[in-house]
Amino acid sequence: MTSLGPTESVLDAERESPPQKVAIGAFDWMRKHLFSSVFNTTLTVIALLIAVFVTRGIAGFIFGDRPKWGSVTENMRLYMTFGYPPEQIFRVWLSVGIVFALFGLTLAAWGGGNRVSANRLASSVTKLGGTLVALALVTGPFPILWDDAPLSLRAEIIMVVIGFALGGLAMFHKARTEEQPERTISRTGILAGSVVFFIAFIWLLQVPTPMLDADGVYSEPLAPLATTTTWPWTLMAVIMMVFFLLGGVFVDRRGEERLRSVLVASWLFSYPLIVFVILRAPDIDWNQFWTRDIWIVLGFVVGGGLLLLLVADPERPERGRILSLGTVVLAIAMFWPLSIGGLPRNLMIVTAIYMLVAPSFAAKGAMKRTLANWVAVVLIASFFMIAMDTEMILQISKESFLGGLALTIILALGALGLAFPLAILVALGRQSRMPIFRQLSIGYVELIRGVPLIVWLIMAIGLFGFFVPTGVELDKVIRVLVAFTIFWAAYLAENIRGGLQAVGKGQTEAAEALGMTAFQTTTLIVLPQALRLVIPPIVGQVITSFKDTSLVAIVGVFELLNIAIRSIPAQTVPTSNFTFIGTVSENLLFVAMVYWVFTYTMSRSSLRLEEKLGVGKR
Amino acid sequence: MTAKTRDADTTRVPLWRNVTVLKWLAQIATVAVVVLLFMWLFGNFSANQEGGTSPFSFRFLNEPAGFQLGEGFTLTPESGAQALMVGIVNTFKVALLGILMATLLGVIVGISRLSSNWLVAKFATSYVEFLRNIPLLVQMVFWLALLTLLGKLTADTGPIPGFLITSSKGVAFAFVVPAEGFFQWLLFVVAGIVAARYVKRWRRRLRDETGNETHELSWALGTFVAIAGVGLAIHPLVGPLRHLWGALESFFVGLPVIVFQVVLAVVALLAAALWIRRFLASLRTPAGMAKLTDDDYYRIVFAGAVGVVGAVAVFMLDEVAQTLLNGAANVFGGLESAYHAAAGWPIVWSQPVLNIAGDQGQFVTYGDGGVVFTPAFLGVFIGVTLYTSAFIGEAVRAGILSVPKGQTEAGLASGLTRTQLLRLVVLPQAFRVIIPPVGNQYLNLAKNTSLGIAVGYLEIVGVGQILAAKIGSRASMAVIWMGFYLAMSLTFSAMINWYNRRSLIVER
Repeated sequence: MTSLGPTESVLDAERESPPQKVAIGAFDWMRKHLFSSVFNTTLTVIALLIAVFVTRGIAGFIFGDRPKWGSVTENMRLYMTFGYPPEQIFRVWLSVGIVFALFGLTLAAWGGGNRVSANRLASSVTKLGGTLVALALVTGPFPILWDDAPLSLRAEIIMVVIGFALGGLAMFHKARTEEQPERTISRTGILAGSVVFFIAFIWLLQVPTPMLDADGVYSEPLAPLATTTTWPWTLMAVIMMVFFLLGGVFVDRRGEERLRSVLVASWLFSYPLIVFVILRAPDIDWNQFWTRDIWIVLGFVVGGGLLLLLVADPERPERGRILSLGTVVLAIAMFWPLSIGGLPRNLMIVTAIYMLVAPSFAAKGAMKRTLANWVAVVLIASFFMIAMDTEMILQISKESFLGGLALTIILALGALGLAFPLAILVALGRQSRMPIFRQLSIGYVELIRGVPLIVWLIMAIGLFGFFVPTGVELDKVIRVLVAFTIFWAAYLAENIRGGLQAVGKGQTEAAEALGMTAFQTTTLIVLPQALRLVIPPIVGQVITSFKDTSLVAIVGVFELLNIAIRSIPAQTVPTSNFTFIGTVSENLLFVAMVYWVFTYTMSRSSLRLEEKLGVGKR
Repeated sequence: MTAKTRDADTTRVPLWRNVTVLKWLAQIATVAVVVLLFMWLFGNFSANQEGGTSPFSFRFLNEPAGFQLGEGFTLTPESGAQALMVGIVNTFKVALLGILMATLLGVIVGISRLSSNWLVAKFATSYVEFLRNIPLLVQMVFWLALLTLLGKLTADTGPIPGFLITSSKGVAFAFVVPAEGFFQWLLFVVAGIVAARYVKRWRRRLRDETGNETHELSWALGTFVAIAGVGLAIHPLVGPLRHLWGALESFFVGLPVIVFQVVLAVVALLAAALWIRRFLASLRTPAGMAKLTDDDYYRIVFAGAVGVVGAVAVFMLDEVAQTLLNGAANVFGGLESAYHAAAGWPIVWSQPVLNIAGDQGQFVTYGDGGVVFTPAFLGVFIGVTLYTSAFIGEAVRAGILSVPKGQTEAGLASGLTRTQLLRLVVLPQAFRVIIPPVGNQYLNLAKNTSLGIAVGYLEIVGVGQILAAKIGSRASMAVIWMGFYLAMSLTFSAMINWYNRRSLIVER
């Protein structure tokens, strides 16, 4: 790097001094962007009128006399967890705690050391302040233009003051840092600030709380949140911060890569742990476990391990193939003619799948790792199988075990997780050179995508029962889960196909030239590149899926929307302390807001991820 | 390992290592597994249905419906098939209107997002971000809830009594509606469209030959307006066609189902045979027939199998064949009664009418007059229109952004005005990028109308659910839904693909 040519150094010098920014005043800015011509001015006026009209309309509805916001605040637990027993609510908080802890660690593992430009933060703060002032002026009373306003004068003044304070703060910062514009703030600082802000917010927040006076007249005075809400959330925020810091320490000592691989496994593991163990609370029969199950599990660990030594022997590949086919035959035989059910059969299926895959990864030095993986797979699989196969401790009906936002999230993630492997298979099939595989995949994708989701859901609810053996009862949530899995797999498959097509043919040819098998080429060369390419469209699909879960309201599953339009408007005094008959629009606005916050956050992070991955720029 | 591989070059590859054999084995095994799975499922199905009627019976299509519908071209359908037809027409009604409005809004939003006016751009951005991030179903239910907040319908409900009435029973407004001679006039409209196409082609040829501007679009439009306009006055002339329609009706009524089935089966087999012939012809090279790969053989066998299965299915579903026959007879019967030498104006201006009942006139409903949109229809319509317009807006924006900046600069440099630039340079190029995603959005919109079931709109899924509960079976209803939506999707995709092929840049 010592012999830089003259041209290069000139280029470097140019790069170091960015073009001079010409500061323009607010007046010039407005003339340029809002009133540059007669046409533009007309547009501005029309847009301004529409904006004011819409904002005042919405604010007028929100702060008006008609809506009973108590139906939202009073039913918050219903919205979040539906019929989950209140005395067992610690299980929900434990689940949220696990998610927050993992989230904190994830923030630390991916860009924990990132720094955010202070100027960018300042400009966001300025925008926030400006929005506040504009909102206050539009919705609050304004002399001459309008006297009656949704917002009280006091609230308007407070908002304007806060808005100007935020703007002033940012201006002050800008003026102070004129000399050194590259100041940054660490991720830790921002996160700590947000956590403090969040805690202060929930402790200071006042919400409309329903009240009945002595005469039974309903009113909604503002009151702080109950301590049963504020304390757990404070704890959650602290947990996230603590784990973020712990993650930082871990990264310093052992490196990011290590934490990332642990985290990926933990996220995957956390889903069944939360759903099947923490929330479902299985009543495991320890007596049976120690006398029967433990021996079955140990038998599979040892027997499978021995079998693996033969199957994954790179010296004798053919014997391995025949043995692995043998396990598949045995697994099928478990259904028919042996008809052995329960743990042995399920573990046999796991064994068959593992044995099918194992020979492809067989290599000389890999035996120890293959065996260790095997032991882990059997232990984890049996743990969840035993947990799923036992009765619940909780005394609640199956229908209301999951509901509300919890169900929305669990349903979306569960079905997407199940759909993903299926989608990869279908996408590979569609790209295959083998005509039957291709035709089957195309048929699957076109059939599923051609028919609207709601038709599949209605069929899942109405017809599913007929297609399973007599006597098998599946509850609604499982049925819609299956329908979602099948439906989303078709869409995901199309996304993944795009990625597969984008991987150069040279990659496959090079892998073949190196002597890799078709399976190895696909799993080790093609898929990793293809999947990296399709992360943004897959995030898009996740967003769509999250919105699509609202459709289960039509078939009578109580997720967010159904609670908003059926449960709460039907509440009368015996089921609740208050009656909220006819409160549909306020509930819907709340539900819309919840969906919006989730999807908007996801789409924003997907944009950032896209920039980071540089997809489309390479 | 290496020694073995070398041997393989000289000796014959053993069967269990022959890649072609293994591949086909794997595929056949997969098909076997899929077939077994379906057999298992249907085995369970018939076991669970034991004692009941046949699960896949379509008999209900030709049976009297015996229930009333809340919305549609007839509220008292005669048969299951007609009830279903009401649902299909309602689906298309809301889908077509939705597509029209969503396109209009979407284009405005897409262009506004790129506006140099800061406020307009921000406004369009928030419009998109709000609408596309909230589930459509939530939006639909919300619009319905808002509509119920409108006032009660009374004799003098406004905003403009007699012209525009909004109430919790829906919206009614004055508009032109089809009248007596409409179907006769339709013949002239179709003739006008056909003639306009020919005129346009002729003017284009003239332009290409002489190099002069021939105003092909104005000519085509003029031809259409002239023929349709004359038709308004002279449409009673085609009234005597009713005898032809009558003859066709009695032909279809008299046609035995079996003849119809044979014709359909022959068509299916002929189509398969023609496809195979064309496929083989496409493989023929000047040097003779190309060698068929196993993939080619598979395609031929598959096409043949599809033809045979289709032909057999026609005979197995004689209820469906009967329904199709009845449908054809009904259409011609309807045309026969619609054609009349003394029919009046095809389209008339019509104002909403109120039916007032009760001793104090307290029961007010919309009567036959003007155009009436029920709250359920409006809920679906507003919902799908706004939701889809956000996505169309994004597609329009992406399309406009895809036109290289150099094109704009070159256009401006050669002295085009902003409007000319947009019309002559940017939009034609952007269209190529915009149409495919917008086409997909149209398809999504049409499929999303099925959510109307949540707000009580009677489109095909809603009607189907009533039918399945009253006289049909859920399984056969599911087959009908799947058939309907698949046909719609595949037609749409074919149209989009056709446009794509047509709009490819012609390269040398």
